[in-house]
Amino acid sequence: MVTNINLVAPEEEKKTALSGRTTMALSFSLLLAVLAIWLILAQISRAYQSQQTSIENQIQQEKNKISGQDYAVLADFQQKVNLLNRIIPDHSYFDVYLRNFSQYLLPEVSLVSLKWDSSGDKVTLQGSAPSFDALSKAMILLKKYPNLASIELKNASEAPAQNGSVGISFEINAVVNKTAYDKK
Amino acid sequence: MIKKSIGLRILVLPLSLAVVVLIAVLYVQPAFSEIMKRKKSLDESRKQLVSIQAQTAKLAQLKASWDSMEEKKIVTVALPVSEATDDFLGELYQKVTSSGVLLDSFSTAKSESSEASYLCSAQSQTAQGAEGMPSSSSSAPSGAAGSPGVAISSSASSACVQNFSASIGAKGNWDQIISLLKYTSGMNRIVNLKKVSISKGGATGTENNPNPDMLSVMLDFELFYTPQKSTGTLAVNDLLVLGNGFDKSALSKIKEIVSSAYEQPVVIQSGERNMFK
Repeated sequence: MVTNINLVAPEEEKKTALSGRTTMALSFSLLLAVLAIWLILAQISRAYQSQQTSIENQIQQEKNKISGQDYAVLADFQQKVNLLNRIIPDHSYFDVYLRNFSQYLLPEVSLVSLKWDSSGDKVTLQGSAPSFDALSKAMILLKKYPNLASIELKNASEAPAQNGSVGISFEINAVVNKTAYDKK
Repeated sequence: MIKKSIGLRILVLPLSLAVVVLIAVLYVQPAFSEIMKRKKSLDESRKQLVSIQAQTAKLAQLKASWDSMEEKKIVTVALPVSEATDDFLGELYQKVTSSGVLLDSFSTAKSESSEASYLCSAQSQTAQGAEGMPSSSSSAPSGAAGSPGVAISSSASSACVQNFSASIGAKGNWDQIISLLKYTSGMNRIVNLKKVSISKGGATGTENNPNPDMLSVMLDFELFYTPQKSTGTLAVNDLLVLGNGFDKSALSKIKEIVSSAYEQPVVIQSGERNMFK
């Protein structure tokens, strides 16, 4: 088998070289183009800066408006509502408590004084009972009061009753739960 | 000469390209980065502006609804801007009259330690800018007829709310005292009961005919007031805008108390009894 290899170089093609003027024009155009791009970018940047300043001014104006006198009444109102919301949990309906609590005092027993202090919800009861038996029953009944946290018989002693007979005067300390003063 | 001309022509284009690249790296690229940065910042500012404008619009809407709110007056009376002891006494006297007890003493006092700071701790965190407190050197108003002199001493003030105490002494029977307690718990001005003392034998009907049912009662109340704000705070307005306007649940709680102010006295229910009889 014979293989023909063409070792002859192809004909040289004509190369179009850039003329000096074209090269200068091209170079100058490139320079101008890049400078133009830079200038345009700088201009856009300035425009953004201007817009930014304008928007920041508007934001400041809006903020001043919000925090200004126009809406101070709203802020004041809401603050008052918030404060009242914190005050109200300590608001007690003491009449409800007394009416409920009275149902747990034995009929034979009567009070001479009742003192209540909101700090600790302590109740001090002083009264008289016809006998120690009645007093013990009164304690048993008082313990059934659902909002009672603790109860303690402080002292009890014989003392002349109002009708001339001898009764038992006593002092009871109790602690009641906060729910006792709820409006029901 | 011809060779030199050819050399220059060859060098001009690479040189100019090098200059272009240099300008692009030194000026164009930083300018472009700056633009992107400013564009991002501008977008954020625009979003912020839109958001704050929406807040303003919502506040304007809230203001319009607030102008016609019935709760406005309720809250103003419930937490006044000053001690307003005269208003308190006036309303208290109405309750006393309605309940039928005899008021025999009234006094107010401010203790040095009562700052109501427990109410202000969280409040002060949200409020921006300290608000000036008014001087609490108001003169003591006169008490009820036949009452002892009212003593008010200046006390420390808190950042958001001030408090003082008021005490009343009265005489009446069990039902009247229960009514008094009921009425005072529903006063237009929110007051918290601090101490109660009920005792027997504190009064008599007449000298010859003592009334065994008569009881003495001493009630200590805690009253609150807060000075008027001259400027709003962004934090509070944020709360308004981000939430659903005013705190409706708190308002309903206030109305629940205040709305009971003018209820008629109720007859004591069966099964209950006078504990002092």
